[in-house]
Amino acid sequence: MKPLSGNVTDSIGRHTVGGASSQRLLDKVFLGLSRRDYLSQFLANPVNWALSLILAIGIPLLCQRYLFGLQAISHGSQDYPWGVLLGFGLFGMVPLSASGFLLSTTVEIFQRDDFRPIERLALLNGLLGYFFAVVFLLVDLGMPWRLTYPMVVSFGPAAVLFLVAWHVATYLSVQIAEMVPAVSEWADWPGLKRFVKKLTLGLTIAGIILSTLHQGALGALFCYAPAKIHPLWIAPEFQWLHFFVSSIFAGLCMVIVVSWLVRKTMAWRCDHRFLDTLDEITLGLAKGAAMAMITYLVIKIVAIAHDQEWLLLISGWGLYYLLELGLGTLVPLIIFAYGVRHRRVTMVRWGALLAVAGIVWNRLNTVLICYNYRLHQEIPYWKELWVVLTVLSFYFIVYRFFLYRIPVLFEWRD
Amino acid sequence: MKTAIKASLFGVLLMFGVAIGFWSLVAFTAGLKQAEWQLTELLRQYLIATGVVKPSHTLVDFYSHIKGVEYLICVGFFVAFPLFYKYVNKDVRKIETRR
Repeated sequence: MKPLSGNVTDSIGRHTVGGASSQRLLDKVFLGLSRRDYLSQFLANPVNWALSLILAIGIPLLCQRYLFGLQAISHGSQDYPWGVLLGFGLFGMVPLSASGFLLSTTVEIFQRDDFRPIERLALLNGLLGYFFAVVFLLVDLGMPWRLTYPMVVSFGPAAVLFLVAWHVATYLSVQIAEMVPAVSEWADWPGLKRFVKKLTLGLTIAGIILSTLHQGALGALFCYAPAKIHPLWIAPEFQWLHFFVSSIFAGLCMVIVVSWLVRKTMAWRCDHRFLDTLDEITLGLAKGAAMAMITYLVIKIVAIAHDQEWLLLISGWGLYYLLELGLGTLVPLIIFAYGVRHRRVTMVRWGALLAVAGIVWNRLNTVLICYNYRLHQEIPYWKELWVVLTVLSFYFIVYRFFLYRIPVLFEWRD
Repeated sequence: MKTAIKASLFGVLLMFGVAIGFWSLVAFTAGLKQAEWQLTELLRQYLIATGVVKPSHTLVDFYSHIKGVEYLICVGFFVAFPLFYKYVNKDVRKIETRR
């Protein structure tokens, strides 16, 4: 992304100063720039042109989906019910959003103040990841006005999806509350910030409980169809544990990747506290991720032993499974261990990117590629892929909107 | 004196390692040839030969077997994890010079 020019950055610098009740809301939204300056910055950025192109095709496709039904944009069937929309959007995004509860636990419960500069970024990453997972779900399900059915109209306590719906809803509320202090600083609502700050410990504990249950419940969901998924990707006794433990390093790696991108593309928005500590924080996060990864690998091997699936490992699917586990977990684990020990931050960041891709690959394998593996292989319709890209673009735009404005990468000078 | 002992000990260990390595390589190549150069077939035979994979006739047999293997994996992890933890948490000590 193109960096902002000097005079524009000065205007934005004023915007980060607290006691801004004198500033009008629109000034804050436009980062203290005039409309013309804002527009010229917008047009000068090639990323915005790329996003516009994606949305120009994607928004009509979304309209098509809601007007003519899911079959207009997807090959979804009884054999492959979840597709890329949920395989990537829900099952892939949710583990990457575990960052919120992980970093809030680290900072608020374990009092690791050295991770405080990145806490809000992790919280925002968690909040938006979960929120857009719900958006992906709504695009897949349709009828968004029935979103509240599991809460107030028709309970389904025997279903894992009931558990997932409640967890997502309550955890999303908790995450919104956790981000309120940042928003209230920006909006100059000190009373609200003081009130929510008193709840921080409770919110953090609620976040731990809900996120742990929810990540596990997503894994448990696959126990509905144990015979359809390739045995190596389903272990009914361990599935919730696999999903939960993998979400730990997925969330940490996602924060490493996002903070890396942020430092590369919007360093003007970060303060010295963030920039000066980022390398050390990255190594700390990688250390935690490495511990989770080695545990995950061992649990995976235990599941193979438990289900007596050793011979499956030397089949074609088994080699594919080993490839996924090797490239997606073992290689990042080795990179992290070496990188942390020898303080190679860039190496750790590439390892984190590989781990993020590995987790998404694992979820796509479980949901799509190794699902009904004895039938034909599902090739997603291009429209479905484009809709996924469109929702991802919205995710990117909203993410960038918040990072530019609210004090996530910088401290509010008040 | 100590250095000489260390060097000779290292030499003995190195020779031992080379001998074991050579033996493993020969065994592996011979095994591969016997399995008509199919790596997966060799692995299958190895799993059977070491008793990791074996037919079980009762549920008790099956459970005893899988729990035994799981136990060995867990014991291995209890040893590996602290070693890994120690490797990753290398203590970087700063040396300060007295003035």
